[in-house]
Amino acid sequence: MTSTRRLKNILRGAAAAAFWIIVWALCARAVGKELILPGPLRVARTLVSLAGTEAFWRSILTTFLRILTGYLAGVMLASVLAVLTCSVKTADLLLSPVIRLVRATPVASFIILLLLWVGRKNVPVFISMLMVIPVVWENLVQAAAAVDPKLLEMGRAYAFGPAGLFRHIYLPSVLPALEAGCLTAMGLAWKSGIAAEVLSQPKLAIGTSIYNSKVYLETPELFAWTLTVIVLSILIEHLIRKLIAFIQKKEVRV
Amino acid sequence: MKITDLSFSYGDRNIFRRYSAEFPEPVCCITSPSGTGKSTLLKLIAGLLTPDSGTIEGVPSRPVMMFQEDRLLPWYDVRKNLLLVCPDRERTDAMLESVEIDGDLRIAELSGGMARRVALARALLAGGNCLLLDEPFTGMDADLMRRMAKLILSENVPVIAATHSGEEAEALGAEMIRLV
Repeated sequence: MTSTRRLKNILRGAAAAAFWIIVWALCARAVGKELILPGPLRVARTLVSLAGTEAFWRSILTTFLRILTGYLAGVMLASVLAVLTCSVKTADLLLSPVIRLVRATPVASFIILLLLWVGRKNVPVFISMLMVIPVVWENLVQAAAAVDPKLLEMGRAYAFGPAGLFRHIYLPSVLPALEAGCLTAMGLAWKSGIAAEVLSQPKLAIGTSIYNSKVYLETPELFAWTLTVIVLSILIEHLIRKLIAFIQKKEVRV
Repeated sequence: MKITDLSFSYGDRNIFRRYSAEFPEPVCCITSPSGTGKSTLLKLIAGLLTPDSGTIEGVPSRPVMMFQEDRLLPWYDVRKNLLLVCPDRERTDAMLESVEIDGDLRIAELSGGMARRVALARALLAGGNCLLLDEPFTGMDADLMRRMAKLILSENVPVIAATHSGEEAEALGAEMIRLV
């Protein structure tokens, strides 16, 4: 992308954001009650004052680490399960219904159960992991089933071996699906992880802070925390895209 | 190489029923109308398919197959496609020069004839002691075809090629066998 085109895109994005912030400000003025809908300036002021506290950054860091741990564990476990599903028929028979069951179960049920089983501190980690597994697993299994059989036959004819088939044919074929799965799963991991924090209330967590804002009717604070979550989510999505692009680029190098 | 009473079918579709033939060495071309089993026969000789019955005798230990489709890996450039079968960079670059292709090109940038030459280069680099070539000259003009035929013959290994025209067989100096 040329720099002029990139600048145009940024300006277009900024103009759209400015439009919705103005709409938000007008709505807040029309409502006239900060408790129901605080304006963007009030939220920005709250965010700046929150950012001046150590608890704000420690909450972000602990939430980030919890969700990231669950997310990475989920992606890795889903990848292993997908390999098993594709290579062992019995594994497919046993795993498919369980993973579909996990996807169909309401997240609130899991949160309550995990509160009993793993303790409040670990609930967000497990919830993030559980939400990630079905998405990444399904994307990978579908992509692996769609790998070109002619390329696989070529790989076998040229003695690539199982490792070579995996590295040079399966992996590049499923990478776009893995990217899509990882991005969707990241959004889910954030939302469900923070929902888990709201219900389990571990010490120093974004979810706990959101819950406290609700208890003390601090709506601007609630908005400020939500804004923080959105910004973090966008940053992490960007990082995952970069990471996958890096892997793809590295694969092409001799 | 000798085939005796070979039978093979894809499900209910019979391709060969008690087919027998002898292939003259070192170079021979198989011709027949499309869809009559040339590619299947080459895959059976290569050991990529197993006959329902019958025998194929005298196949060298490491036959290399060049498929009817190019089957190049689109996520790698030309050179890496070749390095996967022959890690020797010098040999690979020399082969790229012989097939007159720039190794840095991406697969999507190749024309039909260029992709065919890369697939041919891969087969020649794979180190087999017998070449099974399925329509190796598709997309090449007569001049280029003759140069590529010369390159194939310079390998000094037995060749069985599935071709469409007598011109291709002539370029390879091969005896023609009609499948049907």
